[in-house]
Amino acid sequence: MMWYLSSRRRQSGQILPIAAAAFLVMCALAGLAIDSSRDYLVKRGAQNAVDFAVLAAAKQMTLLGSINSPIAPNSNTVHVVHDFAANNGFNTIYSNACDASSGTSFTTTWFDVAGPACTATTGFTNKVTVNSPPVALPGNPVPLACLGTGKYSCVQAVITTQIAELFTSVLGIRFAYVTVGASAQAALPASAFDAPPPNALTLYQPTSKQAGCDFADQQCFDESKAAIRAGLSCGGTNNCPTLWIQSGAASEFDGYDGSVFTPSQDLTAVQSAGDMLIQAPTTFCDSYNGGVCAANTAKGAAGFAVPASAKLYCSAFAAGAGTTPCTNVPAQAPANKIYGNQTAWSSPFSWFPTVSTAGLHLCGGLILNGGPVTGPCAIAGEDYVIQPGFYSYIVINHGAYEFNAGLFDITGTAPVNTAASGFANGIDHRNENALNDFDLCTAGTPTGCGGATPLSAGVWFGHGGGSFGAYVNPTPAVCNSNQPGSDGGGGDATVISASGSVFRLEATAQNPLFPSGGFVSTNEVTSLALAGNPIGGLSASGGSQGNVNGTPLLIDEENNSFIHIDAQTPVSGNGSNTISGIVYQTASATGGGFEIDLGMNGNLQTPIQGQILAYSFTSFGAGGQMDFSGGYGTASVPTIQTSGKAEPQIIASVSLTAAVGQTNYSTLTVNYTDEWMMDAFDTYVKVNNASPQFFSQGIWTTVPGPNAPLPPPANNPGDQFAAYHTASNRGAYTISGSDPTDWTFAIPNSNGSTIETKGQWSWGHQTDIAGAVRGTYTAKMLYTFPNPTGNYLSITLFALDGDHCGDYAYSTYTFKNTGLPGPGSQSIGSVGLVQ
Amino acid sequence: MEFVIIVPVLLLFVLLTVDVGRAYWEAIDAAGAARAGTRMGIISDTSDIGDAVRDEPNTGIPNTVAAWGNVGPGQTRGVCTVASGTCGDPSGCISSSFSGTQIACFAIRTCTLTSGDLGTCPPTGYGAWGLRPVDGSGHGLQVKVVIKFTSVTPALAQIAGSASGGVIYLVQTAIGEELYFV
Repeated sequence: MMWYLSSRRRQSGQILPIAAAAFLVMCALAGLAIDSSRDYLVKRGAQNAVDFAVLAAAKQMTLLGSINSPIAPNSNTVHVVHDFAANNGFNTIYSNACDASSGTSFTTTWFDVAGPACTATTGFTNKVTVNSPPVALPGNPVPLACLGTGKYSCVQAVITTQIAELFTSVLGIRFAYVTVGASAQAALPASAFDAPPPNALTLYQPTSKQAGCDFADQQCFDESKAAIRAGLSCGGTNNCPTLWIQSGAASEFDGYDGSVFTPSQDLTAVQSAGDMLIQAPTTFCDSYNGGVCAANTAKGAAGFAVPASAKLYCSAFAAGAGTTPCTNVPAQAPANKIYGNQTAWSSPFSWFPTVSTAGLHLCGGLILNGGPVTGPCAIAGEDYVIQPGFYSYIVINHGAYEFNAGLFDITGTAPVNTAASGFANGIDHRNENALNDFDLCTAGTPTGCGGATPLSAGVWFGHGGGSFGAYVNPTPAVCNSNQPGSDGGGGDATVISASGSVFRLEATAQNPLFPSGGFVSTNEVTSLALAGNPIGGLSASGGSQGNVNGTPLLIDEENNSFIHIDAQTPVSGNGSNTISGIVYQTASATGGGFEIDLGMNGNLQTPIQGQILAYSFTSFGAGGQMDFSGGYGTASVPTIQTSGKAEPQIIASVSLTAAVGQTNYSTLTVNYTDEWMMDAFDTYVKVNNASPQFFSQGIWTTVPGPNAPLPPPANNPGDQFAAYHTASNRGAYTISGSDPTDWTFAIPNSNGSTIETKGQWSWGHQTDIAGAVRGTYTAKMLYTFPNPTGNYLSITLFALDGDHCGDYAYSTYTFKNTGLPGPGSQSIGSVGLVQ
Repeated sequence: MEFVIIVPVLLLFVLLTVDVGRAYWEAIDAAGAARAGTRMGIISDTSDIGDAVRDEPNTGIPNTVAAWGNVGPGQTRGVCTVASGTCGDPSGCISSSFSGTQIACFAIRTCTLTSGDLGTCPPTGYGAWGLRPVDGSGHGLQVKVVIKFTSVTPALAQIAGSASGGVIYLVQTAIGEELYFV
């Protein structure tokens, strides 16, 4: 009992010291938990701050339009990181003291106090760092999107902040530092690209001799003498106005409708720094605010502008008004009328294209007389396709040829033919004549112009009288992994097509011994269809196709030569001659310019869809229209010319319209016609640089992996197993009840995009289906996709007919979805957090 | 006997710890909700900020009118999809904005950036609560989320202040720059 009592006494109160000790431990644990929670809360706030700071920075990158180099010190991109970090509670003192820029990277750091070294990890409350390109942080490697070529499209912000600890400070841990980072990627949209101010025609040649143009050094106009030009030259006895509308060449210039901009801009259609000689009725149309242009109609307030010193050699302002009076002197007869309103002159904004030839191959010189392309850049199986690269010159006297997409850098001038018979070994001038070819050769001899000066250029498309290779039909053979390609072409008739091609004619300084000349297409060319670089295209640096920074450029002439554009008037139904894109002559030019037969399509279709910036401009021939009212190549769709490919006309028309009932969606409509059904298995459309959308994807039996051929081979039905479409092979398609040929596929994960085909079409080539017969087949393909109004689009289209792999059309178009950007739509660029 | 003395103390301590933990948890969630709302608001001027705030997945507060009051789902001020419309609490979620069973509130306001101002958004530079930025020029968007936290322990209630009745208003904000622009 005593033992029991004694034992009880010893246990009594024992819990108190245990509880006291436990309480201390619990207090410590609770303090640690509270401090940790505080740390986490501050970290959450810092992550918010760094996220919004870096997003704001990426936005500034899209506004500045530069994602190909490190961000610049002290730029807006840098400032917004500081400001939005501060907005969210992480104040620092903006300073350039820690800027470090190496040309390949940029970094800067700010602290909330003065004094810490740039690399300090303690001694401050807030530290904000900006990195371009992003760097790896502990536990966070650089995002894949920010590695390699995309590294400068990303920006990284890092916040380090000090947190005063409440409880753990008793253990000597007075502060904790948390570091958070975020990276954002900026993407330039199709609507952001490098292009000159959107005036249709800009001319540099200054005013007449009396007003300071120096005859000794530059091309001028002397009003005391008649305007005249021969041999693509304004030297000697020649006399060249800045803008010359020749007698009989009634011309219309349609400017861009600047009301689609925010804020709207009433853009001058034609800006001429010098004298304008108007010898045929001339229309200068300002399509502002939806104005519809028409010949001999003055539309809009800003039809044209000239400086006060310039003269207008004209008979009257038949419609419209001008502050510069018409000058009518006998030497410039016949003077004619101006239809247009004059607006105030201001010096044009100086613009020049950014062109990189890095990665281009050396291809030598090309003289083609209807035979296969030869030389180091020729490729097997594409005998009549000319690849991009450096060329000394390119001459096509005969044959159907296609220029592939890419940059053609011309560094020299072509030789003139010296062979009296047989195949020409240079430019064959013998079919040129004074009636049709304005200032080209008139002698009709096979070896020159009959004069002392050989007439030449860097690029020459004509039609000679010498021997030529036989036309080769495309071979109905293997489908070549479904890639567009052809081994057909050549022959007698000169048929030139180019899609996504840029011709750069180098400056004399590039090759002083053999300076590059101009660009000529004569009236004897059967067909000419040149589509320049699509908006946003050719923007990857270092490629074998060249780089023009996404500019919709067609010709870049860096010298004082002339660009002469002409072709035969097409036979009805055979398409038309068109050039689309920007034609640019260097702003430092002192001679040359651009001359064109605007009537080479017989006034059925405008031959120019785009912009011209040149030293001078001459309209010769029958006259016609230059249309920039819809932007680059949008007024109408150029006829697809696929030289060497049997039926380029399988695509009857292409249009882009607002989608019915879907705001901010567009529908691309492609109309097909052929003697065989459309092969819907291989046909695709591609918007900008997105993945191609094949109509057949709803029946693909395998999911193609990265870099796998598209559409997947051995699909059934497909190229190897051609079949008509029936309800039994419908796959994932919806078939219209009213039109069983109308199949629609909702593209997964595409924001509601659909692709639809109706009419007469088959899976694979119809000729491979037993019992197939020729006929007149039509089909229609519609692709509906998100497209904010005001956006520019580059659309690549590939269509195949039912012949056995031979006949296709492949082209790139540029469209502008006109109208103001929709409310809240992102129209300049896009940014997103990548880490 | 001593156990009887200690247990209430321990219980109080544990509850206090739990209370503080709950408060931090709610505050972190409020920060996440503010971030979600701001992120949605800067994407376009018709995206629903209110839904983004209330749907922040980590927030334990239900997306109901009972929890969010007049800034709840389907309420006039709870739907933020009109560029020039008003939404969020017009008073900035002050304590008197809470009524009935409401335990959460959000408010939005806009800082208009003048030419050359990249985002300083000084406190005096904001417009009234209730208006989101509209398309056209640079703006900052502030989203404020307030959670009404009621403590269960007397100590925390005392810390919160006797006048508050044991209620703490946890305030978190996030400020971003609109990313839609022309």
